[in-house]
Amino acid sequence: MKQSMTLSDSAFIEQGSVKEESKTNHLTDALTIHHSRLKKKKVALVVLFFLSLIGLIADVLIGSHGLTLGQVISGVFNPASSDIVTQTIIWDIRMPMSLMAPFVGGALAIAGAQMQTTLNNPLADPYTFGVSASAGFGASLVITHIVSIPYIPEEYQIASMAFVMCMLTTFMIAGISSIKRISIEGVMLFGVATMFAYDGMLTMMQYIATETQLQTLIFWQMGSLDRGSWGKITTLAILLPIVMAIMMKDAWKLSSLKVGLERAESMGINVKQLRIKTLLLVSLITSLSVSFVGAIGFVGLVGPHIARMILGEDQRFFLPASFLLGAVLVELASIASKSVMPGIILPLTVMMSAVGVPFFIFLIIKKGGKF
Amino acid sequence: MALNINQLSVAFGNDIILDNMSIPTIYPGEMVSLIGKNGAGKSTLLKQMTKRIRPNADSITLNAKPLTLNDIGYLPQDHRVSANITVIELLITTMHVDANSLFTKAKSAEKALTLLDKIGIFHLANKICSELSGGESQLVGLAQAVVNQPSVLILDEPTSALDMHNQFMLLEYVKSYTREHNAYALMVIHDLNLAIQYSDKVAALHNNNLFAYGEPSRIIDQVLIKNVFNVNSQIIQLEQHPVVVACL
Repeated sequence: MKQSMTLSDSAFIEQGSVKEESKTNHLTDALTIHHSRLKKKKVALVVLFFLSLIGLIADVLIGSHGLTLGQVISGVFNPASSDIVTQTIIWDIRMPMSLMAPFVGGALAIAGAQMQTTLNNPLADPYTFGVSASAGFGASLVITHIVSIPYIPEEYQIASMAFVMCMLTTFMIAGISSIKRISIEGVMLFGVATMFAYDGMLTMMQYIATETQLQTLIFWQMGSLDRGSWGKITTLAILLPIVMAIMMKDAWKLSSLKVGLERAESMGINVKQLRIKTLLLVSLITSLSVSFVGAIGFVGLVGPHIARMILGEDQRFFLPASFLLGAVLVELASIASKSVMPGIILPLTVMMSAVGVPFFIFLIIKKGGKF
Repeated sequence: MALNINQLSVAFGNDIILDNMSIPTIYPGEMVSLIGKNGAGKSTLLKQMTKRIRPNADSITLNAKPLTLNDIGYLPQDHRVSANITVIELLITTMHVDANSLFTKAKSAEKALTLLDKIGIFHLANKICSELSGGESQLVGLAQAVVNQPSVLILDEPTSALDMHNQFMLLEYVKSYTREHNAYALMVIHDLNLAIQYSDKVAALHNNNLFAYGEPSRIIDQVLIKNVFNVNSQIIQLEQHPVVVACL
């Protein structure tokens, strides 16, 4: 009897230690899965960075003027060895155009990402909120000679007015979203109404414009990287890292806000302040990008969604991934716009849709629309 | 050491929700259930506790100082998480909400996993929050509420999406947490039998004010149920535990 009790006791102890061991194994397994997920995210960021770099190089190499690979490389790294035409093509046309692509694409994608996060709406982006339309309306005011901004040189008039209208519109959205009794859905509806209002006004401007003005206006609206310049690139190269750094500093708070408004507030996050601060940063980078190259639809919507599907919504990874994906998408669109019909550069928005829509639809079908 | 709610008033326009309401002192380690009809002001009371700024800061105090958001852990009624992040990432994010660095503190993932294990939802660790079922997301919400070890747990209908087993699992954990950390737990609960079983005190809200407060077995009776819920009932003693049975 005594022996059997001892046996059962030892069996019990053994069972307990097996249970403990299996628990430790589970803990290790779960940790391994978590760490491998983290590693995958880091690898994905590195891959995206190199993709954007390759996209940039390819974009510089491809152009309507048939320069060889060797001519482009020597033109970039040893300009003195190239003739003046090659130098002009590379340094005054191709490089500014190609370098605008990652900056503008990245800027619009993080603008969309942050609008989607702070307003908790998967449809939010500078385009759907009428920010891009407001830029078009601002440009139309200058093109039709209704408005001109004092002390601004003629060549910057359109971009400046587009910038002012973009800023005003995003301020308005930030203002509306700070009114407590207006829900997030209300803010979204306000954005859509704004888009329709600007579209209506833009149609009116097109109606009263002369034939030449109408042509200028339509071309401006199409969005084109050939408006890129070294000055614009420098502006974006200085401002974007600053904006990105401020947003990254709020990464934990933004992730918490995406989890839920009530919970974020109860964790001590000043949601109203965070939302306004983020939307003001969004307004700055959107306004600059749109005023520099015109409206480029889709990238602000699709860039963040692809980033979300690949890397999830931990903002520490989501934000840089959105930037890089935006950059890659616009680079691809730029390459496509130059390659589809040799000798002709097709409108960027058309190519953006052609490149982005099929891929986006593929992802929606694959993931069942779960973002 | 005490949590006090004194002369708390809340109104939305002309609609008075809480009218100068006070609750007797709540002591460390106590679980208090708020019961009452829909619209009685239970969630409003909890939401007042989750506010950064209250019109009268002294209306809710912890150890004689106004209750702050650093003191609380909150599980809202709407517990669904729409973010595409895993449960571990959710907990790690909550641990770092005030952090300036993007790098995680040492052993954050291990801490998150230990907590999930204690609650009994270890298997959800690497699942995506937006893909969890209602009950799972409620349990994860509890983990998020306690991950920073708050002194005051505020749980708005914490068992609403849970099956019987998980209801007991959640409430057992809340009970052990409050006892272990000498914390305070305030929760809205509709199941009177769960309230009886798991609460140290019950606060019955009615007509914008506190109707009754005390130990559940003492205050939950036919009269209270008739007055507060307008329902006829019987209280049966089952192995010395009162059980509420509604009589339709």
